[in-house]
Order: sequence, then structure tokens, then C-alpha cells
Amino acid sequence: MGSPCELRLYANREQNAQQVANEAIAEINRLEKKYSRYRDDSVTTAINVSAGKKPGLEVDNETARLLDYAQVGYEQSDGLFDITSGILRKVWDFRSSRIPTQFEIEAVLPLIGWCHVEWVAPYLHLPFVGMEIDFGGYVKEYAADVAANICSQAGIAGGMVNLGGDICIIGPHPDGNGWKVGIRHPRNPNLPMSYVLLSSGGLASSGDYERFMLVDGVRYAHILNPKTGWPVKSLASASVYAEQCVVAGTSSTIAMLKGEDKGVQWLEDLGLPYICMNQEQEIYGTLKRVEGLE
Amino acid sequence: MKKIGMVVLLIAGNYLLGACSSVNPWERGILAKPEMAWTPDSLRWQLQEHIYFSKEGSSGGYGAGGGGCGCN
Amino acid sequence: MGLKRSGLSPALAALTTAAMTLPGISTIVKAGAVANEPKLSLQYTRYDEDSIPSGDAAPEAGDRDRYEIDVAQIEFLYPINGQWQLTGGFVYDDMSGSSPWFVRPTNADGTGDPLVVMSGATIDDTRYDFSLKADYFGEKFTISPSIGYSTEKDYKAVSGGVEVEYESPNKATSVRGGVAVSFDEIDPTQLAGVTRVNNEDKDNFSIFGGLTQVINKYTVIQTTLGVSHFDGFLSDPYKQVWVAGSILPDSRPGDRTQYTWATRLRRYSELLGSALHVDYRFYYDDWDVRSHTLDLGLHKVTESGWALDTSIRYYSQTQADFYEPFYRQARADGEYSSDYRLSPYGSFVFRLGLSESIGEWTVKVAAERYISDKSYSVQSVDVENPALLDYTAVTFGADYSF
Repeated sequence: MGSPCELRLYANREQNAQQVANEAIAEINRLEKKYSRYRDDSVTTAINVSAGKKPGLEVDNETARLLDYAQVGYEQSDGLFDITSGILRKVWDFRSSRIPTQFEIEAVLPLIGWCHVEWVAPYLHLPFVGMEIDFGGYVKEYAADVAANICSQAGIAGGMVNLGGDICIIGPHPDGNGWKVGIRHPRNPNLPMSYVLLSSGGLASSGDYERFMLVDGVRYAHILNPKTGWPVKSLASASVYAEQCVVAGTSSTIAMLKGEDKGVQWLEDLGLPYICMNQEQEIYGTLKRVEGLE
Repeated sequence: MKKIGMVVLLIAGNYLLGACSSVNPWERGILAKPEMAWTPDSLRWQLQEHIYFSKEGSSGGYGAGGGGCGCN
Repeated sequence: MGLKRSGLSPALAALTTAAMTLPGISTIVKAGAVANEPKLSLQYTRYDEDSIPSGDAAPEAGDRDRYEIDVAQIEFLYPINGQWQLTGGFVYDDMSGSSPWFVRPTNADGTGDPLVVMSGATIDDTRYDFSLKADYFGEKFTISPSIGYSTEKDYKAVSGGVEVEYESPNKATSVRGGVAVSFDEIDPTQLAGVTRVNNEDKDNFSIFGGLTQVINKYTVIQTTLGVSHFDGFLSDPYKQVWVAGSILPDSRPGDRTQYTWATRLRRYSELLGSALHVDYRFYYDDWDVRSHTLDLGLHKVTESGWALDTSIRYYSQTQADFYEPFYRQARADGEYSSDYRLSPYGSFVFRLGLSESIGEWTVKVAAERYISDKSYSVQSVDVENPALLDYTAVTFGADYSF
């Protein structure tokens, strides 16, 4: 999925572990293929190609549930979590060091808005030609949950799935201790900003470090407000713990989109443990940190 | 005669009062340690219970199960 | 802070609910968990009762050596799939030795200290015990049915039961309950010149319910209430009593109802790097036996694979209402027993265990010493039963995980 992935399992026989790992990896690959917007044969491409055409597309059950989830995310975030906002990528090229003009941005804004989408399961209709949806904002976290669940179902009691920093714990180490998970420092990718100890559940992070550009000393990150089309001045990163990695991921994404004050308030209201760093590189949050060194 | 019972009851009562604070899932590691099990060694525990059952005047307590024996 | 189901924010509830409907995400909050791998456990125990001290035995007592028992146990745990697990058990007991037969006063007129008379010949018996238990780990419930069969020369028991455990969604509380039955058949070995019963039955029905509560990340507590009812031949066919100079068979009421309240606490101490175990049981039955059992233990597992445990158990019981060491006069209800098990006493057990895990193997050694005395009882006891038990048990075992 374009980022380092890691699957760690405890089993008494290597053969068993390998077999379970293969199943989990196959499932991750399946989801990657199915929802990649770069593949011609993906569901995402099929949906995007159908944009503007009546009567839309009938989608499979898994896709339907993912769309339902996107709708809930949209509603709960007052429209900030919007899977139709991916098209902004066409005007914001973070490798170019060029800020798009307001005119360019306004040209794509009409194509954005989950509220325009006609979604009556199992039929999805994107009303405008050029409208796109992108599952990239949460399918990786979902894949981590699925992979961890496959391992649990196969009887693995201890292990973890790490899909590029989105983590789902299968269970603690055999001695009962949790997994020590490092959280990436938004300004120094090689240095964890802190460690947390997890025995179950999911941890996901969102930050301004994934895609960004510095123009005249100002940081423009891919945390784009789908209503304005502009990057949000926000936290440097937000990491959230939830029982499901997908919920953790959505919550951290929404926190980033809300900006520092409202974002932190959102996490407090959710009651989910979090840890974040602001632009002043202050680290705070309710997720308990542990010492880093062994 | 009643003293031992009372002491245990009081300890239990104190702990239960503090039970409102929930333990977060990521803090469950310690409770899952093997030495925290009700019966860390199943076979040893089964044999001990069987001996006390057949050699003492009282039995049972932690569950139900098992038949008797002619252990006199 | 933290994930509290009770005060779940509406936004989190909505997201969580939507996530739960995604296929492949674990919607199952398992009440328990199936074991990872099949596991075979073997254990051998040498159980050795101390001889009756010569001062407590009558001159005609016979062999004062009590039971020596070799016990071999096998258990095989097999996870079938993500939801089912089977545990099969087998126990082989091989016992030999003498057993207290009856107690008589020092003097024929019913005065003096009680002295024990042992069974004349050495008793040899073997017992085979088979058991099978299944565990089903469902969405919210764990259901565990079990059956058992035990057989020896003069005794057969068939038993069965089911336990159900429900875990609350936040996993902090679980509720357990269960029922069990046992049908036992006693067919005593006959001895010339001694009147013994033939083919008697004993039935048992028991029921229990309890609560387990996680208190904090270091502490969990469990409390259980139980009732058990016995019906049938509850006497000991091999024991007799001295009643005003005559020797009569041990004769107990035809039913017995037992009530138990048991509480167990597990607390982890970071300071000691060990788990503290506290088990307490209060027992009462309608034969008027009351007992307290307090078990305190310390269990430590090191990172290098060693495990050490030490515990002390204290037990104290009152006597059954019809019990006497011997009877100067006959009782109107005809109920008699001089069995030390129904006498008032207290006991201590001291245990030590050591194990080491090497790869797929865990090897274990453990020892326990049991001592009983009238002076250990919580209340004062006038006359001690001369057959009170002391024993030593040494155990060797090994587990293999496949």
C-alpha cells in the first residue's frame, strides 16, 4: 500500500504463523487492489468512471458498508470528512512548490460534496461528470482491522498489524505485556516523538508531514478543507486510539481537519485517548506515554 | 470465628467501591499475565481440589462439577 | 479519560456502529478466547500420608501406615477452530495403605482419650477418571459443557455439567453460572465378619452463580455463591463407630445440602513483579459443618521463562452435629460417625512450585505439606480426633504446546 507494512504474530509453530500471515496479507492485498484509484480494474475506478451517468452503479456489500461508513463520517464531522474531496489533489500538487490560484480551486469545488452524491444502497450515483470518490482516507485502517481479525479468528492470541503507521493489535505478547508502539515525530521522521503501550485495539495517526510543501516558509499540507479547498492550519499530528483502527483513523483525520483547538475538543468529546503535537512542537494528550528505551 | 470472613468482606467492599473507574482496553496487559489466572496450573489445582474434597468435611465453592470417589 | 461505553459520545457511537457493520471487522467481543495451540499436560504426584502416631493408636490398631497414592494425570487441550475448544482429561490413582476404621475410648467403660483402630489389611485400589469438557466462545457468552466418569473397584461416578459465562461489552464485568449433576454407585468390598452395605447410590445436584469484576489494571475479583445437594447413601461403608461398647456401622443422614460463598482476588504488584492471590471460601451445610478457607499465594513469572509460586492455605471447620469420637450412649436418631472429616479441626497447607519454559516445553516441580490439628481450629476444640490427617505431596509435570 505504498508504505512499510509489518505483521507480527506469536504462534508456537512457524508454519502456522506463516499460514495465518499469508491469509492476512492476501486480504490486505485484495482490499488494496479493490479500492486503489490507480488501478483500472478497481471498484473506485469503476465508480469514478460512472460519474455523471444515470442511473449510477450497483455496488457490492463491502463497498456499500464502506460508503455507509463514509456517510456517517461526513455527518459526524459536519462535512469535513468527505470522500469526494480527493479531486483537490488535481489542483494541489505538493511536489510542485506552487500554490494554486483561488480560481483553480473554485473550479473544482463544485465537484466536491458528499451531500450531492445519491447513495441509496446498493445504488451509488455521482451526479456530475468529473466527480470522484476516494476510499484512501480510511481503507488502509480498515484493512488493518480486517487483517488483525483474520489472525484472531485463526487462534493467534498475540500480535500486531502495522500498515504504514496504522496499527491494529491482535493481542499482547505471550508474557502479557503490551506492544510498545512508536509514534512518528512530525518534524523528524526517523525519531519517534513518543511511545505508547497497547494490548488491543487500533491506533492511527494523521499529520501534516505526509504530503506538504514549504512556500516562502509557510507549510502547506494535504490536510485540505473540502469546503474551501485550502489546507487547514492545524496540529502537526494527531494519533488516536480506538477499539477499531478505522474509527481511530477517521477520528484523527477529522481532528486534523478541524484545526488545533476544535480538533482537540473533538477528540476530548469523543472520549478517545489521543496524543498530538502542535506547530510549536508541544506534545500533549490523554493517551498514556511510556519510556522509549528498552 | 467470624473474623476472617469479615476481613475479607471489607477488603472486597473497598475494592468494589473503586470499581467505577473503567480499565481501558490497552491497559489490560497485566490482567492477561499467566500468573494472574484464577488457576495458573490447571492439573495441580484439580488434584489439590480433589484431595481437599476427599479428605475434608467441606467442598466446592468455585464452580460446579465432577463426581465423587470412594476415597476413604 | 478513556473509552467508556456508558457515556459514549454520540459521534463515537455512530462511527463505531458503522465500523462494526464493515465485513471482516471483529464485531465479536469474545467473552473468552480459544487457546492458541493444542497443549498436552502430564503430571505425576506422589501423595504420602503420615502414619498414625503410636500414642493415638489402640494397641490392636494394626498397620499404622496410612495411604500412599501415586497419581498420574493427563490433560489434552485441543482448539478446534476460533470458537470451539476441547479438553480431555484422564487421572489414574493407585493407592495402598490402611485407613482409620473406628475410634474407641482408652477404657472399656467409655473413659479416657480416643484411640484409633486401623483397617486390618492393607487396602489396594486403583481409580480411573475420564473427563471431557468443551468450551464454546460465542459473541457474548462462553458455554462449557462437561462430562466425567470415574471408576474403581467399589465405586463408580458419572457426572455432567454446564457452565455459562457472559461478559459485559466493556469487558469489565462478567457473570457466570452453572449446574452439575453426579450419580455415584457404591458397592463395598465385603469382609468376613463385618456387616457392610451392598450396592448403594448417591446423587448430587449443584448450582452456582457468580460475578467477576475488573477493578483496575492491576486487580480483578470474583465472587461465587453455590448450593450443592447430596441424596442417598452418604455414610462411609468402611468406617464404624464405638457406641457404648458395641461397634456399629458409620451411619449418616440420607441427604446433605451445602452452601458456599467463595471470593478470589488477583492483584499484580509492580514492586514485587508478582501476582498476589487471595482466595477465601465460607462453607456451611445442614449437618452443621461450617468452615473457613483462606488461601494466600504469590506467583512470579520471570522474563527468562522461570515461574515460582508459593502459597499458604488455612482451613478450619466445625463438627457435624451427630459427630463424636465415640459414643457413650446410643443416639435416638441412630446417626453416628467418628470420621475425622466430620470432626472439628484446623489445617495448614504450605506449597511451593517451580517451573521453567524451554521452547515448547514447560517442566514443573511442586511440593505441598498438609498438617492438621485441633489447636489450629478457629474455635477451641475439646477432644481431637486421633485420625487427623497430615500428608506430603510431591509433583512433577510437563506441558508440551504443539
